[in-house]
Amino acid sequence: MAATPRAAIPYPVVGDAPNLPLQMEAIALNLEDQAKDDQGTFSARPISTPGTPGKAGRYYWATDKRVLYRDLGTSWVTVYKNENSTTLPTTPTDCTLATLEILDTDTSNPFEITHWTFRYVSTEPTYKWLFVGGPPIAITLPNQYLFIRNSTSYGNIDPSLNVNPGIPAPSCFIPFPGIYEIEYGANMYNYGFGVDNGAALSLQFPASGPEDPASDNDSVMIHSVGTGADTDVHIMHHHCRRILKKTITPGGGGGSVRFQGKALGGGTATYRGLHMSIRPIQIASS
Amino acid sequence: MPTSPKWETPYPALTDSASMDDQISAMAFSLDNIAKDVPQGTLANRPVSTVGTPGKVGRYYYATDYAVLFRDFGTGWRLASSVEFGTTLPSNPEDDMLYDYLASDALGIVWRLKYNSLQPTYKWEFQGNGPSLFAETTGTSGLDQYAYSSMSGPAIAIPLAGEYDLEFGGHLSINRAGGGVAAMSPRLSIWLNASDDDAVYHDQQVFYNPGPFHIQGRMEAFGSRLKRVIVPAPYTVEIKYRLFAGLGPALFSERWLKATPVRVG
Repeated sequence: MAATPRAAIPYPVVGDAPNLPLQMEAIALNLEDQAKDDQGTFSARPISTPGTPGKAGRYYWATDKRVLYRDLGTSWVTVYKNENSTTLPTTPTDCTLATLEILDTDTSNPFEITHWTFRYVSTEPTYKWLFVGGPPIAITLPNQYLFIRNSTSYGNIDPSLNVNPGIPAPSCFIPFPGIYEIEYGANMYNYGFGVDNGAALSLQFPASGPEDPASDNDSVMIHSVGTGADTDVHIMHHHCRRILKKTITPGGGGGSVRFQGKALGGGTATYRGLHMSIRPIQIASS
Repeated sequence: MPTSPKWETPYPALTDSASMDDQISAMAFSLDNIAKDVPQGTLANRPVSTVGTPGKVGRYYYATDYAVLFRDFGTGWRLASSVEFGTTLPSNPEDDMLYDYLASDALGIVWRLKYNSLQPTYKWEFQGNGPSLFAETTGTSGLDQYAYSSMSGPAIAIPLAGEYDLEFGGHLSINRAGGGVAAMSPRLSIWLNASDDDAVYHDQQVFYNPGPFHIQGRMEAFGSRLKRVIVPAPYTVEIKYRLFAGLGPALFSERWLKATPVRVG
């Protein structure tokens, strides 16, 4: 028997012994791998369960959902799948897409669920899940929420008790180790009474051990220092905003990025309209 | 010979002449272009399809361990149920096609793009709030000239022509210990068109003192801004700096630059 060039379907040629059942069986067996395809509403899709097996390799286009399904023999799966999960696949390959469901456990932040989509790239040295898209985790406080810091060294900023008692300083939750883009800022000022007045705002990052403390390198600041004959008090109000790229390695279960501040030249550093948003660039699965 | 209603597969009727070879071969060749779905299994058990060991064009394989469908194009397998990934945009895309473009291997940046032929020039639209190219320069540098000039970046290599949102900023300050002037203003700008129209200002009025004394001392603050630009060809965008007025040096530190595509092509 000869065979077709593409799918190698057998067929008889002149000279073959006439045996119709055998020749038809050869074709039928070859066609066992034929893809079957049908369409209709989702509710009309044929049954495929362990109790009522379907046919592995059968396709069905649900016209009302616009989704293509493939029959595994005992169930249907969507052909293009990118399911939400709170964990990333443990044995991915380079074609794996995954959407991570971020459950923000940071109680300072109005509780939200955020979805980030990643693509696995095995050649990346450490953080092999590359961010494809999704909204940032973000917090924004209105200007009436006022926070202060009465020290010239970095530390937590505190709510100004006569303005917003009981409102804790906001922070943002990081679920996995990775490289993140962080945008943050505030309207800042310092009503000191000297010629040296300023305010700095920086971030403290979670780590597997002690937290990575705030530093000037990660800060925004305003600062005015008069010298010589100029002894006037200079006070600046300014909304400072900055974008940082930062490798963050929280321990298991994730951790929070927190605002920290310090007063420059003494006095009270004051912050209004705090905002912070975080989105990943690339992460590890744990 | 009559044919089946859906795929028009020929089959013999009682009235046809008895030529079994012709009738079966006609059926076989008709079925040659029907898609195959070979028995599913793990990715490791997927049949070979390489240049040296060709597979069968139009064959599908479902990898049960990764829940992914592949299609055999004769000399290799391609993803049928995921988004293609690479460093070169497809040359003959269809509308609505998705593509994950590796904008920077070193920085781990992937842009998900969607093709839209209705766009006049840059037909690949950026999707889904994906990551941006980002660069920063730490430490402090100063300059004392009025013309825009370079100072250790930061810079970003834009890999594709297109329309981009560029954001940039930094810490700007002046420091005059004696002999101050009425107004001083450091500025930074992006080099794509390094003009004051692109600049981040440290507003000179902040430094202005109308009294008998000129400003002496130090004033500093962070500034930032956003600008949407056309980048007509792959290009390295860089921040450049100048002192606008007064006496320097103007000091710049913690400078950052960010590029996010809007549409490319």
